[in-house]
Amino acid sequence: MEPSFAKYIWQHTKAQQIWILCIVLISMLPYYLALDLPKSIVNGPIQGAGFEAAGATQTFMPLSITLPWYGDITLLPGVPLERIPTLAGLSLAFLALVIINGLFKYYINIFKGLLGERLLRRIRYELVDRILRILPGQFKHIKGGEVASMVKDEVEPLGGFTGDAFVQPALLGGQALTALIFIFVQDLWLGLVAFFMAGVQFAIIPRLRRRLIVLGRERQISARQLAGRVTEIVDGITTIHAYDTSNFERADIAARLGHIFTIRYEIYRRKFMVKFINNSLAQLTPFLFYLIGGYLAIIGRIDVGQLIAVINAYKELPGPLKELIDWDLTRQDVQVKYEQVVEQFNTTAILAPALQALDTGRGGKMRHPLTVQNLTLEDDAGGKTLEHVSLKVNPGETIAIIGDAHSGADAIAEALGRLALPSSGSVTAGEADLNALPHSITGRRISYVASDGYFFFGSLKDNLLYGLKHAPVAAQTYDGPALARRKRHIKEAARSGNPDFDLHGTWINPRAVRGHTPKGGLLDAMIGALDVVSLSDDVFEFALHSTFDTKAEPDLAADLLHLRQAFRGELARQGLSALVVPFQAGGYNSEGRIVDNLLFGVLAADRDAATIAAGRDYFRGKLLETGIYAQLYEMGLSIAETTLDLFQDIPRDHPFFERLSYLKPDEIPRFRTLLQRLKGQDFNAVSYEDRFAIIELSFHYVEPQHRLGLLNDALRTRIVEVREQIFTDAPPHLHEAFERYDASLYLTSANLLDNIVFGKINHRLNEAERQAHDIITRLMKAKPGLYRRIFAVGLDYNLGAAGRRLSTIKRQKLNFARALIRRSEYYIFNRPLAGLDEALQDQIVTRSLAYLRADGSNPAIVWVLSNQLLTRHFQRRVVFSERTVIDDASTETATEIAGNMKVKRVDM
Amino acid sequence: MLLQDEVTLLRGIPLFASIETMRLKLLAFTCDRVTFSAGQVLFRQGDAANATYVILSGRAEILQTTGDSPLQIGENSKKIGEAGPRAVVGESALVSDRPRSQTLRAITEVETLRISHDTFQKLLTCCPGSLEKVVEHLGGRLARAS
Repeated sequence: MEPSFAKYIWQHTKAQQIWILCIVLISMLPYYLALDLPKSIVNGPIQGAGFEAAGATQTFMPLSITLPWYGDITLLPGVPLERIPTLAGLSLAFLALVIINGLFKYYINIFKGLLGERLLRRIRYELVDRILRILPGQFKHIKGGEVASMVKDEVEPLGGFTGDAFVQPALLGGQALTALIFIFVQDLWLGLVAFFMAGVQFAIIPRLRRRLIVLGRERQISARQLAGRVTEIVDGITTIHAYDTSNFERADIAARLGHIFTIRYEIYRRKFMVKFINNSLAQLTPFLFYLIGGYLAIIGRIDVGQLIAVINAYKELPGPLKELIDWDLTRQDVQVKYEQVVEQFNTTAILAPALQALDTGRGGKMRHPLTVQNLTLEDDAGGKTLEHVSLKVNPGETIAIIGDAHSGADAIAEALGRLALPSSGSVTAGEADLNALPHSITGRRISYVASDGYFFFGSLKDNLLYGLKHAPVAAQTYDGPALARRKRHIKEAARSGNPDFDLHGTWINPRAVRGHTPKGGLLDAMIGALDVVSLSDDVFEFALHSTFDTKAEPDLAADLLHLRQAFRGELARQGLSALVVPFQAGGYNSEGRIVDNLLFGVLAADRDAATIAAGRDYFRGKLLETGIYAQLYEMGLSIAETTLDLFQDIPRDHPFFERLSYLKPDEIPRFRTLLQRLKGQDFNAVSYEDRFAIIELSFHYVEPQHRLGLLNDALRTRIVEVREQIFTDAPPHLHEAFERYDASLYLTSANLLDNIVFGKINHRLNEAERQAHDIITRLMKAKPGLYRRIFAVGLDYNLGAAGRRLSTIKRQKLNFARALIRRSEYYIFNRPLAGLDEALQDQIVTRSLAYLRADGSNPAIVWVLSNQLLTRHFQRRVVFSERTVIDDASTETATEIAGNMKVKRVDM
Repeated sequence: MLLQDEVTLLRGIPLFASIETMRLKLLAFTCDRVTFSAGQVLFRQGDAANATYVILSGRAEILQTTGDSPLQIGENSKKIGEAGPRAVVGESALVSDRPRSQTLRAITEVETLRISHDTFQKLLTCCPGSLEKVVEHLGGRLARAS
């Protein structure tokens, strides 16, 4: 990237800079006219100059220009007007000029903003484009947070400067120069004084700022490092908690913040010192004018009028000068920021853009063998990881690579997957060097998987299909306003040097998807790949605990409602009806908490804090209004007493407290004092907060679970009555935040499982939850159509940042599945399933080998194995040891040799 | 059955008779009530012992299997007894986690109080004094059994 920011701006905004400069110059005309006009209004119509006689007229707005050697050309002859109409006319002209000036200002500001934003977009894109091209090895030394901080924050001020980069100095310089020339014309000596002082300012101020620039650079780097550290803390939070190092991190952050504080404070001090000196210098000039100019006037070298004019002209000078110096400060500041960012991204270890060029074609098949010739690889520390290895992988061949961690087995896989650059030797596909081939070939025709694949924030589906999104294969069709918007986006992208690939187009080529059929589509392909790695059941499980957009899929909701009935029927058929106590309108759910019975529904998923607070206030108000509070209060007191009694001398950190759903151990003392205070007190004398502290204890009560004998039929009936009242009286905005249990409606805010169960599981029955779950799963699987729909809901499960919501094992499975779903000629598997147990590894190896060949394709598969036993599934076995190949044979021969050895051993 | 009734019931069982009422109540409070339907297995011979059951109502049969696969209840399993209300079954699980030597299967619907090994151990940690006799009692029985 261009090292000088000014040049960078000029390079990309030349034409616009010239245009805006012209506009600014033109805008000067109405600006000065507007400055001049008030004088004419005051002198003319107001003070009456030229209107001395009654009925006298003045020519209004004559317009003529004088050309040298030619004379005057009258453009407008002007209109003769009397005093009042002249006043009106001139005032209106003033108004018009004010509006015109405003419009100019508006246009200029918008245009400058536009320039800045486009340049900012361009810089950011260029930086990210470079990130995408920099060789992965380079990133081992950079923290993600630091890079993000550069792209997002550090370049932000650059945009703001762009619009002023050339216009400002031209304009201010012009103004300052005009004032200087005027002073020179009036008097040479005074001119020299003014010129000298301006020179002093320009010489001294930048010197004073040198340290500021250094500090600015330090501030930028330390802030960037802080961003990097914060990301690191987030990424490593489990390690920090596990090793109790949070205070070490606190110390580190505090030290960094202290350092940043020191820098920033020094910047302030110096900045205002520079300002002070600058202002003082600016004030020094008038002092000299008064002294020297006054002296010259007294001795008669210049006349007083001239001196006044010079002093007036000088008034115009400090403004532009000061702004010019400020501009220069900003310029240096952004230049430093720009340099600091750009130098991080200027590396030679970067791919040529052509290697990542967009290729929308399917690309030819890779029919050549992959040949490794005398290959040596080195790690970061310069140690060899592979030495003089030659190996040929023929199309369609299946090779098991055996070797321990330092044998070179992993290294050869990385070389074949284009992850490692050869120190010597070569990896070629046919005649072509693998590392010189564009990504559109190696990244599609070869599928490389190690155990540590990265997952992007998004759904399981997004991540599973991630390896298929190489290029938009079909454009999205737009019409109407969407088309206009799209066209505008394309145009604007071009203006900032951004590409216009449509994110919403189709990025997946069905022909590149393994298992894709016209009928089954992508979903079948996904199910197929997930089946191979035994992840389907997990996805199904995710679905059961997910919600979906019922508005988008009303028929799925309807199907699930049918399933709710079928589930109930199945329970009855198996004599297991007691497993679930269903929610029944007008009935008390004995397995539900009291609060569940009072509310009888679920809160909407997108509720906000204000609605919750409003809902709680309404709910509490209703409890008081209906009078049920008294019974609940008594119940709460009784629960508190029993609990305090039971737990009176149990240490507060004792695990028994885990069984208390309604009281936290640290609340015990509070309730003990509360109980003492409230004993024997009339309810009405108890404060609002205390009342509800006690009442809310009763909310969690479930009679069959807690068995304190506090609920009777009368209270149950009363609770149901109150429930109805709470519901019917609720204001509409609370209704929206709440979904009531209704056997005939699907609960949008509840997950699939809760919707099907639609009741409380009776946990007292042995393994009730598992039994209910099994029945539901069986029912769903019995309907393939419904199973697919539900599976699709599970695919929307969000994996979280870096896939952290999945366990390591599931991440490895998914990582492997996303290679299986790609159609490639070469699959390089580098211990992709290292965390799985042997039995499961065996299953997945067997299944995936069959799966990759099931559709008649015959890809080559190179698999680095942790488990020797699995080699029997492969045609060829290559053994690595001490960074080189020690054995390479077809597995038949290999088995024979192994057999012979066995025989020999027996002989011995 | 309410907590209070459970406490009364536990009090009548010799194993727990020595525990003071407050502790017994805490024990009952922290235990799960688990109901098994007729034919369901409470625990199987050979499984790791992780809980003791106090039968509150219903009847269960005690089976013992001789042969290779004790986990299967088959022809070679023999009924050696029955347990009814107030019976404590699998009590060795309170102090030891050696495998079950018997299988217990519900004949009628059986309502139990399930005292898990964990719960009992936790109770021991907070109030060892009051449970001393229980442990002694169990220890004696285990010693006799082996």
